[in-house]
Amino acid sequence: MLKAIWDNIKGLYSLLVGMSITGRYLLSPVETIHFPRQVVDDEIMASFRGPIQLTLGKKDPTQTRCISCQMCAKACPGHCLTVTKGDAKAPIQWLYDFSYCCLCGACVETCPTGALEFSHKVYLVTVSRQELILDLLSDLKTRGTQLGNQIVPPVPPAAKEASPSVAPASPSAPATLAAPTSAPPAPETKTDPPKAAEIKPDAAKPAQTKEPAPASGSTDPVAASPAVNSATNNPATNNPATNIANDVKTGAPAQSEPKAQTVAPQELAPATKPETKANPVANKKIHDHSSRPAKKRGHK
Amino acid sequence: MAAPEKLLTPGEPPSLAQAQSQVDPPLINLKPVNWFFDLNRAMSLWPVTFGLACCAIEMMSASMARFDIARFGAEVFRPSVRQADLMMVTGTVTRKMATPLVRLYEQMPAPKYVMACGNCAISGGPFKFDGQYAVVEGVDQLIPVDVYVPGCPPRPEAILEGVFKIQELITGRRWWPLPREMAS
Amino acid sequence: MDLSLAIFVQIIAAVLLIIALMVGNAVVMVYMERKVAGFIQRRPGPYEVGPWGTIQAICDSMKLLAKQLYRPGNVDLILYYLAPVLAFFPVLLLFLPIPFGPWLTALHINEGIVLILAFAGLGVLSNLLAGWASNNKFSLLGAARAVAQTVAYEIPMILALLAVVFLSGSMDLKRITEQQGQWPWEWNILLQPLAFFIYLVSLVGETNRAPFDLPEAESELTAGFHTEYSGMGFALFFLSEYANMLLVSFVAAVFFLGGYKGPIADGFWWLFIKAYAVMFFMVWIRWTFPRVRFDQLLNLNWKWLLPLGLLNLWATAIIMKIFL
Repeated sequence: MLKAIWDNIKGLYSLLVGMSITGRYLLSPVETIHFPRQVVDDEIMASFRGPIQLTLGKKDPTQTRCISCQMCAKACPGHCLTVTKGDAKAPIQWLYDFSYCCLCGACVETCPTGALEFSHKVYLVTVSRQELILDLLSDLKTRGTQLGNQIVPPVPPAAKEASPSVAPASPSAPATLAAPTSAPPAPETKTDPPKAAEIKPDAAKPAQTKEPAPASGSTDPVAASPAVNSATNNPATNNPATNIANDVKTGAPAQSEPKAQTVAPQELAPATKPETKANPVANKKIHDHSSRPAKKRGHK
Repeated sequence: MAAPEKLLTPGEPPSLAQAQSQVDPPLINLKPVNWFFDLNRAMSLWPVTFGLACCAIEMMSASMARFDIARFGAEVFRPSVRQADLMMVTGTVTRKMATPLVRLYEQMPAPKYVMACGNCAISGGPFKFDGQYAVVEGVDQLIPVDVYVPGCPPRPEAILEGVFKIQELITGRRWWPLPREMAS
Repeated sequence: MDLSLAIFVQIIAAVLLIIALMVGNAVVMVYMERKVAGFIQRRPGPYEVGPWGTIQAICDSMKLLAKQLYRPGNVDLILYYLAPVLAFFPVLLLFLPIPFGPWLTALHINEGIVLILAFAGLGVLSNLLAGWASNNKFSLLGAARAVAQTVAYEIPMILALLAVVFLSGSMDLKRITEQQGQWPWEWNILLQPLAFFIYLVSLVGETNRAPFDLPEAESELTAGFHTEYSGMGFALFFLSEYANMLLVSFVAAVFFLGGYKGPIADGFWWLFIKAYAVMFFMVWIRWTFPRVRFDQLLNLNWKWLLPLGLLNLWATAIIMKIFL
């Protein structure tokens, strides 16, 4: 019985240990992120699967790449998506009921043109269910217009170190698909020097570059198509601003940087027609997954 | 009330129950007094621990050290609904749970607010398909919902934003700065 | 007579001040508990409402004031409304004998501690009434547990305090304070460490604080005996819990920690500092230890605290008789 008593007295020591642990925590600094004054790092937000959004168009950021093939609507397990096809391939209405979505990513993976991606809208809060039926075309329009209006941001460091490797390759392969990541800038580098200097392309410049534009424009979808599986790997309209969000560390931002400066919303409308008809053979490589970066799995 | 019994029939879709949410107007109904008490209610919303499924983890995470919901007064999660104001329906509402949920909602004293967190609570979410018999497709089929926080699951910051939205609905303005959105 | 009129006025004034003290204490304790709980969990606690969250307690009480007046059906009306009142107001009585300062005792009676210990039992009655009147079997279970626990933990409390009474030779709180010195090594805690320990444990058990908070165990009984109370009834229970905590902390400070005596200047500030140190300790314990099982709770009391208290009392008596 004495042993039992002594064991119980020794057990009191564990109480002191517990108190010392909480006492130590009491004096430790707090770990709180004072939302909304502070937010978590962008790295963490980059892996957040928010409601899906249409990726910015290659030539015209406000036009979607969607061809209304309904693959996403069929793949969606929650039947969230309603894509209404217009007369052309592009959809005229794109409705997405976010309240049925489970963010599985089947639509993003299935889309043949890479028209869908996960956004990072963390703070979406509504007061009615109707507000959760998102109209993705108008959202794309808003984002694309904002993109055209904003000043091109500085090149991120990853792009800076990748650009020397890409730049020498570009003049050698004018319009081939051998090196898809290097093909697009090839024709564009001719127009780069006059365009790179200006931030906002004005109306006069697009008129002058109209003749090389169809020739160069024809390679745009072609060159971009092998890499269209990942929406943001498309060098045509990759903007480093959007790519920071998608945590892309490939060479795509590097080559997109001159491209983004050259592309302006105003000049793209006439160039779209020859795009779709040029080089249909090249479109066969749309399911080449080798060039697709692994970043889309949602891990940081 | 009749509606909970109707929910127990399998195969039949649940109807919007007239949950007894009618309350008499306050005894003193002056505008400055109402404004004062609304402000106090907004700054001291006590949630009831109504975590049903995975979104409950996010609710718990919102009350933990990293995103502290206690900073805004909502720390005291009362287990008894009679002492709580805010019912955060976090998670899938199954038909079995529907009856207790409505009963608990009616036991909450006014003024009470409901926040539907997560896609399952908003509309049944990914568990809605033709012929399903297990899930109530949205908690607003049972009780009136004030704020919807979508996501699968929503981040704890989104739950905090939902609380801010309820404060905005109570007092008429948002009291905290807007968060910096990610460049996307 | 003039003397009785003077005493009457003194008592009325003291009661008003004590009500103010209890309300102020509740505000401070709510804030302190939530902040200490926060910092132990490495988060700031109330922060945004007012500067560093200081207005939070007032917001809470205003909100509770404005809740819907609510009475569940099938409750025993009189008992339901009586229980929170009975929880709150008798605690006033218990603050009267406490010497707040050298000349600041509301009611200087020779058996101060007897008054306190006798009326501390009224808190049990209110818990029982609340549980019974709620017409809810889980509330009743909570109330039954509360009664068993409080009645059990009163006994070691009495034994621990009796040991100090033996030392001081008087049950008068003022004299007990006077017999301790200014410096910490002259306080009763050094002469009666075991009694202090027993008193601390029974303090936590008496006020239904974690880890002994089974009557209001959240995960087991969804708020126990005050499940069915909302708005002001709940606020009164809350207030009475904090007032009880303050009272037993005052008694601990007076008996073991030297009361209003302190190193530099005697005064009521020392009493408050010591009492709030004891209460900080209670909050710290709450956020450290998990809840004990009910049989472990009663075992601790009847098998450990009671024999230890008796042994302590016996040893004190022998030592006093032989050596002093």
